[in-house]
Amino acid sequence: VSAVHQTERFSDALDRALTSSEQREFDQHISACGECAAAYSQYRETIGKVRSLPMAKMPVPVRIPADLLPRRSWTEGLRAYLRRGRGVPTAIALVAAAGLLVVASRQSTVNNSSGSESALRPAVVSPVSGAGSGAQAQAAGAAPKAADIAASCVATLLPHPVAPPPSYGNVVTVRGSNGIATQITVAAPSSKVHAGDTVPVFASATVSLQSTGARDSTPSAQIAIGPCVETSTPATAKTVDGSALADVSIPASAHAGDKIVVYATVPAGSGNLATLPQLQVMLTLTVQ
Amino acid sequence: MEDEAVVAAVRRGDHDAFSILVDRYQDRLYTTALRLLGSPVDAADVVQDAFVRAYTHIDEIRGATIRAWLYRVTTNCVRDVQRRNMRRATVSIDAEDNVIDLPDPSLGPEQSALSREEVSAIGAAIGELPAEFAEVVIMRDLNDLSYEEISQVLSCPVGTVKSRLSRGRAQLVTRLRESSTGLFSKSEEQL
Repeated sequence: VSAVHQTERFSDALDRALTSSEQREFDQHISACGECAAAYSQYRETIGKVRSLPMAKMPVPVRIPADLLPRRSWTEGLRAYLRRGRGVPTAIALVAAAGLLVVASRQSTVNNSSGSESALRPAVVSPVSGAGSGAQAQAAGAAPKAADIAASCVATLLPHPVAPPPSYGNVVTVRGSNGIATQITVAAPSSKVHAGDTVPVFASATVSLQSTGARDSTPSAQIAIGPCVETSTPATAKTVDGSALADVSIPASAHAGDKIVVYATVPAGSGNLATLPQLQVMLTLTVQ
Repeated sequence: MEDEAVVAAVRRGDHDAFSILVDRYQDRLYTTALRLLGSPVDAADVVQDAFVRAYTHIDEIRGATIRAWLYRVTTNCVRDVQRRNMRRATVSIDAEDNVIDLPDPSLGPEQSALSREEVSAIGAAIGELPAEFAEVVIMRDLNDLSYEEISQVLSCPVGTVKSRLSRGRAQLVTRLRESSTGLFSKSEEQL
């Protein structure tokens, strides 16, 4: 029996990667050495637990940019899908999903001018700033209905948390810890605007997670989200190239004293966080 | 359908077949990237990039299985992000004291035979490993890649894979044994 402890061979032994002679020597030593037997037992148990770690779910669908895909009709796509035997119900769901993708693509065209890359990410949407939207019909200062926002807003994931530019003096931040630690900020250079101005508005939200996959304990993961930016009548807002900035256009017809409320909103459940509540913060601009 | 048949179908022009590869590997690649990066957003970006590269270069993949190739691209993308994160001075948002113990929502504890504390402790211990050890431990023990596949992924000899795996596992066991959780207590007779 080898007198040398066999710890250096634990890994290969676990994977049954020892040669037959090495395996024989290992087995003989383990049966004679209580220390190695106990250590190997714990080693196997611990690595066994590592191997049973749960698999994470990819939180967003993988998308191949449209300009890389061959052009064809949707019926051809459906036939190909059915050929692979996935069944009619799934195929119907696929068609429905394709409809959603078209919507997302159109929103992306309007709001994100970064070219083909835009197809890779959920579209950034400034949801109800278009003509005839429900929010525009509301009185100045009235909060948009949550249902309207949820129906039209797709808040986007940002690459990393961002803070408002230091020069922005009109800043409102709301923090929450109701189930999930959240923070949403909206900011503008000033509270005073003039008719005809285009006012840059910063809006960003973060959700702090204690991720099991993280290297550090506090906070191990922060998800940054670009909110949807809306305004009360009469201004309009649109996001800029998928960033945390939006341009708010003050109509030339606005009068001194008019107050324009800017809403930054992250719908409930954004970022695949099922327990994330709706986040909203408002900022007031006063026409001079 | 085997991976090789799927790749052949995509090369013949059946581009829908690519979704089979996505369905088959996206969660595994995401788990790999998440364990190495700790950031769900970065990990999702890495997996997205990996599949786009695989789709774009599927005619050029030679000498490795598509599985090994996907892991190789993912690992390279992870290293790019790690380098970028080291360079980039990110603006810190004050999280104050309101950070709660919320696991990544994509890691469902109900899917695991482990307790929430064990999942958290093991994840943290893997995150503390040197990257070269963490890579092989994750590929071998979480994704069940063979030594030969890991060798293809990392473009290094099988002997190097075995050495890194042995050292990585040993460090992992030691870290978990010495962690304050008490979940991986020392056996009575330790070497």
